[in-house]
Amino acid sequence: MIKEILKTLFLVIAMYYLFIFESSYLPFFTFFSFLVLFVLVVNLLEEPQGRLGLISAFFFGLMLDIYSTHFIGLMALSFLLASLLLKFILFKYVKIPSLSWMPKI
Amino acid sequence: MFFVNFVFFRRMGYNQGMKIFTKKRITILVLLFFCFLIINSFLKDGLKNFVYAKSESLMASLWNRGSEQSFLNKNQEELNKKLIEENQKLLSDLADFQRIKEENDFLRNSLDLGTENNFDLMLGRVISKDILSDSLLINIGSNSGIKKGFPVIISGKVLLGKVVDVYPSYSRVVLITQKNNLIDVEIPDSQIFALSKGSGGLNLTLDMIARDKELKEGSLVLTSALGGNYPAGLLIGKVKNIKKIDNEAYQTADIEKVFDLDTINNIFVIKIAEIYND
Repeated sequence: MIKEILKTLFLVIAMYYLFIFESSYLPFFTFFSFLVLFVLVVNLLEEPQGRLGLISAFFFGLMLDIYSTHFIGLMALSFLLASLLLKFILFKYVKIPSLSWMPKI
Repeated sequence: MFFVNFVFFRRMGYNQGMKIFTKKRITILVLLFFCFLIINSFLKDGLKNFVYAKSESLMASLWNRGSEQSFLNKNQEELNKKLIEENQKLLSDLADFQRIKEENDFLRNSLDLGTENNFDLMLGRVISKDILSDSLLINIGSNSGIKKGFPVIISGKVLLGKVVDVYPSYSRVVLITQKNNLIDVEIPDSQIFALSKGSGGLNLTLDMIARDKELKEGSLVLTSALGGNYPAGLLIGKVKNIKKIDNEAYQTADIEKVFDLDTINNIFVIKIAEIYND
């Protein structure tokens, strides 16, 4: 349980600093968002019952809401729903053996 | 081996009767929805202002570093050559303008019109850019008298955008390049009135130009007072890539914007008395 909480805390702090770096330093060099890729990869690779993908999607959405003109929660809930849907589709319909040898997060 | 691992991995879920949309998860989603509803109703501005205040110093220093680094990365030799050419052109323009200014001052004095009004400006600093859209966060807010709809410029009367969200110590500025951001503009040397349209990704296009008008590459695009959102005469960019398609009612063109992200550190917010069309 403590391990799980620490893992989540580490993820959230790392994402917070990465977000700040992305919105204050990277706009000069690229429009590509590495955090979107990160959230997608975590959701693709982790086990269907895992929660890190959901937490990372929710937190990324929340940061986007806070640092933009959106209502707080709009992107957070959208990303969370998208993450759940992605898990649902992967779990229910996608049967690609190659996914299993990727490292589990 | 990999396949077995995969099958086990998937079967584990089935054996436990695993569902993705469990009651618990749906309840959390609904609760979050109501929490956000309450936050947006009562705490939105305060919360955003608090988070910005906590991260301001880090974001401002990263923005400065990014700006310097980006400037250094550009080809200095090419940049110098371009600047020398521009400088020569500006010097010749300046000589013309000085003569016109003297003439203008003399005429204004003769007609007792007084001098042109200057803007009431407030200096601010950029902290960050929105990842998904063309908007910037600046470090002045309602405590400094900022209101929604105030235009934002950089030195040289170059229009950057306008304030769309105001918090106590911060404001959010939507850039003129934001997708579907429309501004009434004029091209003084051809006497053309048109619309500047943001296309996102820091790009701008010029739209609604009558077909019979003669548009020149490199002409300056300035704001027009017609729209009521911005004071007239603020610089937006230069005309390029004119497109005149036979069966289209209007001709279009691209606008080469005159600001660059790495030149934007300090900005000025114009205090205007009335916002007609926010």
